[in-house]
Amino acid sequence: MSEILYESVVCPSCGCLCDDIDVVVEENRVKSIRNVCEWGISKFLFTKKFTPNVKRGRVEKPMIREKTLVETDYEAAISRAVDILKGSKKPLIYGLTNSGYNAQKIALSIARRLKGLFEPRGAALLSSYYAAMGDSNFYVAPLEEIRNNADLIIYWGCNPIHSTPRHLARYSVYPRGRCKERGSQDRVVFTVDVAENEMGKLSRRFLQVERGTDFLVMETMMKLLREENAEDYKGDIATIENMVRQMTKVSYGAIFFGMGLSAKDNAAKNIENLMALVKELNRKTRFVILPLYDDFNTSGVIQLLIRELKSPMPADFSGDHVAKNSKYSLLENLHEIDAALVVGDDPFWSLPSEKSDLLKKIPMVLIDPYWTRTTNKAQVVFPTAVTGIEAEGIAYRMDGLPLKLKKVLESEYPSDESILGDIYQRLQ
Amino acid sequence: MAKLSMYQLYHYLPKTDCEKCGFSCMGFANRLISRDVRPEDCPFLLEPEYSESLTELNRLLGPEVEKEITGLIIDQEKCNGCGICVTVCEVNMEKSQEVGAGRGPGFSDEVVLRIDNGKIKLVDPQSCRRANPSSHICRACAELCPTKAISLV
Repeated sequence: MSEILYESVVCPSCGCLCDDIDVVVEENRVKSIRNVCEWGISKFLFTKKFTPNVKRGRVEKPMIREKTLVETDYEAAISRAVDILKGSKKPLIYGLTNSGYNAQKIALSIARRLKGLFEPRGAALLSSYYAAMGDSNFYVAPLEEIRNNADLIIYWGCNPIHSTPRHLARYSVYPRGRCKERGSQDRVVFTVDVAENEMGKLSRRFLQVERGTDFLVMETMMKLLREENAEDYKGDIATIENMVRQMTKVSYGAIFFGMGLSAKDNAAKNIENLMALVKELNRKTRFVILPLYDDFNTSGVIQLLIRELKSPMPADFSGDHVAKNSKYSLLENLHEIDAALVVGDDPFWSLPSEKSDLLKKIPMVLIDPYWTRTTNKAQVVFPTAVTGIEAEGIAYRMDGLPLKLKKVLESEYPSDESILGDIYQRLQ
Repeated sequence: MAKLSMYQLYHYLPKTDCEKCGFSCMGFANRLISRDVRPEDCPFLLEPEYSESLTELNRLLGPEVEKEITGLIIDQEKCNGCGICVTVCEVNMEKSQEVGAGRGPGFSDEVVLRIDNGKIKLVDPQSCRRANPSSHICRACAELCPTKAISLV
């Protein structure tokens, strides 16, 4: 029995991509892991998130639907998937935030060849963020710079303790930085959320907002910054005033926002106001803004869209040869699509029911390592290796830094990159 | 675990300073907090007239727990492995500058606390500041734990 030690492995669970994980592997099984959070260990042990004792059911063989799902061989599944995709006039390629960069690239090529739609998960919020960034200025910084300099951290509409557990200890509040030698004692933390959570208790100030009305808070903050009258705001104006006073005093601030801002379909409006607020703050001091991704390669897929299509919006290749991507989300027109290729995501869990109900009516090809709600609705299901553990890949950290994911376990399953590659080859 | 004060517990003791347990009543209260003794170690508290006091003391102190020599009690169920305690620990930082700056300790770093298999583990209690009786002041890991998985007695 020989043990293999892998040092400084990159953890493929959230957008932090912690690169200090030490893994001991014995007989192709993970024996012990150091420096990994509870979510990370769930990923490495193939268990339920935050519950390392409960195993997740893995898809073991390629399956196609006759009356029920029946196991088949890889070739038959590929031909069935290609038939479904070739036969459709407007397919949707969805998910991809848990795949490596190269797999995402092939998926975009498939969308282009089939003249379909390409939408990453959570695009409504993130595309509007990158679009607003392009319109105003690049208020971003590497996480290391935030660690070294930031003296004010704001978490807006997110709970890092659940979505990115090591973010607080590695990059934002607690680590000692070059100019922040005392760590958390040199920093102030604010949290804005709909309900007080653990993060609110750790923060100097907690601002409670009504769900979907974050843009009003941002407007009020801008008014206060411009020294205008902000009495028409009905909420907790005293806390807002206090926060704004502190925001103008600091030398370097960082705002991290999460999916909370996409509540009630107000994502674009919220982001627009948040960027305007950051722009206003940058007149007085230095402020940066970064999204907090809960999937490990969301940043990668947006970077791919910017590189290939010069715009971060989800891509629509239907119609003429020019990609139209000017909408924040293409999921409003789901009734137009007639087939779907879902990679590493569970739309029946993550999308609201009125949207996911439309997906029930169309044939769906699914590439996912685990059984999910979507598996029960799909026509073709491919088992795949988990990227970053059983397959190599490239992932982009939340601030845009590319990192190489290692392979620590041998797997009998093909990677999503090779499955997508085979589908793409057959489409030519 | 709620923070207890010596006077809060002293209130329920016989206040006779008989020293049958080996300490004065105030000293006994101090050792109750550090979980070195149990209320049943006081012979007076076992008598019927002090039965209410005994029940109340047991309620305040909770069930018997396994603590480290530094007084650290880890609730493995609550810990989510965020590593804040590893980063803020002063001794960890003295041993490795990188750990103080957020990076997880490597195999060669001899640290006090580290995250092992997604949970916090006290690997070197002797190096902890609290292991030295003259400096029982550091409470950084317990105070900054967001899930209250660490408590100190």
